[in-house]
Parts: sequence; C-alpha cells; structure tokens
Amino acid sequence: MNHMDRRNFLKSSLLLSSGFALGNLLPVLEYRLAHAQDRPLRAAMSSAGLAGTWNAQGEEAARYFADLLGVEITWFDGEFDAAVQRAKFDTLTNESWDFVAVQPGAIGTLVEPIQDLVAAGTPVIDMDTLIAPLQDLQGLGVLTFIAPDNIFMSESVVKKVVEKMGYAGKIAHIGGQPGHTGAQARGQGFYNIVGQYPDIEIVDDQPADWNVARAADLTESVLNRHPDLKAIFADNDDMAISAAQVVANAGLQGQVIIGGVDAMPPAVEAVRDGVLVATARNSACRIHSWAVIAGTVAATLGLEAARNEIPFYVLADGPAIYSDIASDPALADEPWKLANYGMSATDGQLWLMKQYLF
Amino acid sequence: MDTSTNPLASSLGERIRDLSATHPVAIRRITSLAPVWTLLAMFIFFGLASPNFLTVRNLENILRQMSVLAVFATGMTFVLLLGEIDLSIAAVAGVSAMISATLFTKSGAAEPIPLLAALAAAILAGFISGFFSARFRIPTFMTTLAMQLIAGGMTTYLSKGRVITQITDVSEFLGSGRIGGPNGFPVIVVVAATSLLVGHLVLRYTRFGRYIYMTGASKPAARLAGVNTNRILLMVLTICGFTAGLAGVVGMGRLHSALPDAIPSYLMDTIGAVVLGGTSLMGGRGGIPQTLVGLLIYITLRNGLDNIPTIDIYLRDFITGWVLLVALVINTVFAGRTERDKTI
Repeated sequence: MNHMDRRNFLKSSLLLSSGFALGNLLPVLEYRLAHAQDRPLRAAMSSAGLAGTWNAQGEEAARYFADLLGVEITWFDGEFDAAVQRAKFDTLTNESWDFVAVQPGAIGTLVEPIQDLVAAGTPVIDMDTLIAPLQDLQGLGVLTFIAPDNIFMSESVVKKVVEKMGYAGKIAHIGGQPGHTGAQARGQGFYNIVGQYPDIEIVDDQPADWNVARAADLTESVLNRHPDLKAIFADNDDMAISAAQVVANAGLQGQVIIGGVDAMPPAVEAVRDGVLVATARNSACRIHSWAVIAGTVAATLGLEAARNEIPFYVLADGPAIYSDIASDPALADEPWKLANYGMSATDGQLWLMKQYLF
Repeated sequence: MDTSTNPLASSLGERIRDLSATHPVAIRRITSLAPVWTLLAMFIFFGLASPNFLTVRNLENILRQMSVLAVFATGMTFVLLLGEIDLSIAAVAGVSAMISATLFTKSGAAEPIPLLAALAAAILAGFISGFFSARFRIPTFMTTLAMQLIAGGMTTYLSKGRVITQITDVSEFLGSGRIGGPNGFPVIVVVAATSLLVGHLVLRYTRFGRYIYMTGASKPAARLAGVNTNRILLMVLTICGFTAGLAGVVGMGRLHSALPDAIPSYLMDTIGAVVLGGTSLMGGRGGIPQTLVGLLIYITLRNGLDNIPTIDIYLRDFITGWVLLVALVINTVFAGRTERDKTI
C-alpha cells in the first residue's frame, strides 16, 4: 500500500468512525493527535491587528492548539487597517492551505480573496466579526462563523452597573470604533438595559475608537460637565481601565462605577481589586482555538464532510465577572443559592486564560 | 604605505573616486539609477527567499496592491514637487467612497451620478484647501489637516458608523473588474497606469508642469518670472483632491465596502512611496517615473516579507522599517540627491 492509499484508508476509517459517533469531533482530534507528525497541516490565520491585546491572546491560543494538532500556522497581521489586511490576503492566496481562519478588520473587505480560497476548496473559518453581511456569508462558502454574543456580554455588565447605581443617576457610554459590528452590538446592549430605567440619564455617548487616550479625554470631559456622574460603561476593558485611571486621578473612585467588556487579564485583576465593577469574557482563546479545531477537522475529513459536521454558527462567549461577592449568612448551608457559591470567579478565570482554555 | 603603488591597499571609496574621475558619465548613470538597483536587488532577494514570490499570480498581486496607492501618488507627486503637503488624501478618499455608496444605497441614484458626485466632492475638498492656502498664506500642512478632519467628520456623519457593502457596478468594475474574463487583466492596474501616465505627460510636456517644477524649486524666482504661484498651488491641490477621490472610488471597488473611517495607511504609504522614489519633500525635484519606482520598492518590500512566513510576525514591521531606511539611504546617497553639509 503506498503512502496515499494508507492516508486515504485512514481518512475513510475516520469518516466511518466519526459517522458512527454522530457529530462527535473527538475521533478526528484523536486521529490528528496521533498523526500530528505524519503530515503537518498548513494553515493561514489573520486577525484585525495583533497590536490589540485581545487579538494577541487569540494568536497565542491558536498557536498552542495548532502545535497540539500538528498544524503549522502562518499569521497575516491586519495591522488594524482594512487595506493592509486585504493586501496580505491577496498574498495569502498565492499558496494552498489546509484551512484559513480570519477575523476581518471590516465587513466586506476580504470577499474576493475568500471567494478564490473557497473555489480552490480551502475551508475558511470566520472568527469574531462578519466577513460579509450575514445573508451573504453562507453563500460565500464560509465553513463556520465562531463569534461571541456582544449584546449578551454588554447587557450582563450594564445590569451590574445599573444595580450598583441604585437604578438612578447619570451614566456615560464610551463606544468603540463606530464601524465595528461588535462595538455597535455592545452599544445596543447598553441601551437595552439602561432604557429600562427612567431615572437613569445618559449624559454622554461618544465613540473613542478603542483608543485609550481618547477614552481618557472623554472621561475628563464628562467629569468636568457632570461632577455628579455615577457610572461609565466602556465598550472594552482597555478603555474602561483608562477611564478608571482618570476617575481615580479626580478622586472620584468611590462615586463613579465603571464596567467594561472582554475580561482580559488586566481587567479581571481590576475587577478583583474593585477598580472595575464588572467585565464579561469575550474569549479570544476559545474563538481562536475553536477555529483551529474546526479547520483541522475540515482538513482531515474534507470540506463537504466538515460542512455536515460543524454548524454554521458557533457561539463563543463567557460569563460576566463581578467585583462583589455574594454573601448571605442565612444561606451558609446552601451556598449553591449564592452567585458563584459566594466566591470570586476572578482567579479561576485568570488560571483558565493562562492555559488558553477560556 | 603608498597606496598609489599598491591597488589592493586602496580603500573602496578611493577606488570609486578613481573610477568616477576616469568614467564620470557612466558612473553617474549607474548611481542615478540607485532606486532601480534597489528594486532589482529586492526582486532577486525575495525571489530566492520565497518560491511564491516570482509567480505570475504574485506579480499581479504586487500590481494590484500598488494600484490604489499609485492613484493617490500621482496627485501627491504634484503636491510634493511644489514643496507642499496634502494630509487629507485618505480622508477625502473615504468621504468620496461614502458619498458614492450613500447615494447608491439610500437615494437609489444610478451611475454615473454616484461616481461624479464622489469626484466632485473630492475636487471641492482639494479646491478649498488650495484656496485657503493660496488666498490667506496658510501652510498647506494646516489647511489639509483641517480638511482631513472635515472629510473624516463628513464620512462619519454620512455613514453613522456603518460599513456600506453595496457599491455601484462602476466602482466594482474599477476596483475588482478584469479585462478579458475572470482570468483577464485587472482593471485597477489600468486605472493606476493611466493615472500615472497622464500625470507624467502633464508634468513633462505642459507649461503647467514646468511651472510646478519652477515654483517648487523657488517660489520667489517663479513669481518674478511671471508665474502665478497661487494659481499653481490651487490647481495642484485640486488635482490631488481629484486623485484622492478617484483612489477612494477605486479602493472601495477593491474592498467591496465604503468604510466609516479613513484607511490610515493610505496617507503615510503614499508619501513614503513618493519620497522613496526620489521626489524631494522640499519641492522642485522628482517626477512620476521616480514615484513609480518608489511605489514598486515599497509594495515589493511589504509583499516580499509577507511571502516569507518564517519571519516572526511581531518583528515584521521592525524589519520593514529598517529595510526601508536602508533603501532610502541607498536611493538618496548613491543617486546623489543629498546636499551634504560642507561645513562639517
């Protein structure tokens, strides 16, 4: 039996076994773990910009899981510039890949090279934000879209923020980049919750474009106009921490409650230390590592088999993490009735992130 | 030791000087083509370093990746030859694209209205910058900086922060179309080549082009010679606005999207490529052929590095910066473009 025949035999066996396993990916992963060295897979991955801490964490997680599964990743950094990412994607199509996973910097900008990749039979995985408008995404031939629910995340945080405000007072919203669908969804989540409380007044709502310096400027400005401000919600943690520093400099840390989104390690530590009241985990590790797993499965089973195996949309987000710890002496014997069993979730989240698991 | 009697002991510098003395014209010709040698060296290096670099597909990629910048660079060459600057090109391109997409999607306007409106807005933006600089002696750095904010703000207002993915057929044809079927020649490259060619013909063969060089070399001298330097400035910034608008429409066609933010790399990449080719920031020296070589060097460097996957992704910009600096030194020193300070 020559090499190709042996591989086809293994593939056929694998297809059969995975078929019996009824949608279970584990046989594929076991196969890859056992044969990681036989034929390493080649994958291209791209994120909007590795200068972002969230993206950098995702890249580390992807490489970690890729090493486990015998996948060699070549990374194409979008540098937070739609034209740069497009140019790199054009270059990427020069070669053949076992799979490609991408977090587009802007919707619609990568359609043409992705059409070329799909036409060549390359599995393409969309991470975090939409490659094309949702109605076009499946027609484009994308294998799966792995993304968080940004509305859920921001609603989870804002609920805690308004609770700490006593459901009344002035609040400011620092938005992300206006064109970013995630930022728009987080803004929507903010309004969904705040709109339920007529005694809460939104005194400022401006985009800071994920820029921490701009977030600090906006915070200074709103504190100047509204010294009685009670809360700030920022669309990501970096901006929330920046706002927290301005609030601390103004000596208002006891008065102004601040929440963010993403639950990156510095923000989780800030929640643990009471600097932020809440954050919600947008798991870069899960989104990127699941993309590697989905791509590996598609490269092993074949694209069409993988389409039957992997759902088109995979939700990947995490819980909200709060600074306050539920406590009720009356429930001492029934701690399961307290949020997080009356314990802090922060250390567990930090530990999981170190292992690229969450 | 007497080096005159021992050729092996003479330094490289002395040998070049000797050669220059004996063959001055030949040496000048060789060194003046330093940017071309730099480009050739890059092609050889990347061709050896990556099996994918010298493929037809990748060479086409280089041309396509260069095309939007080439349209921008045509206008920017005019501006830099004048010794001025235009910081608004990326924002003007953004607002032009957004005007076209907004008219098409929200007002249902059919071509050529969106295209003409986009170009008219860009021309107006350039004209306004030029008018205020010429009329009130405000440095173009400041008027175009203000225009950057105006155009960027208008884009944000029109888009309400949303990306528009429905674009006109004309934009799509200009940015992503091909002549001769799906495997034909990219239209975007034709647009870029036309832009550069027209720019070259204007600069090289018209009185207006000569006035630009004269004004850039010495504005007082040009004025004394009867050149209306204010009108030249106004026209040059208007032309730069037009090319920015055209680049915006073409770029939108390439990216299939009108974006709510200006693409940040367009401005610095354009200025970088034009200067890299040899057009002086001080004005009066350079031209479209130099810009073409600068564009090719700049894009080849980026594309070449992208084709070498073994380079650490976090080191890529660091390496790009150093290679760019070395290329710049070679281009300026060997091409004899630097005015050395003779006092030290």
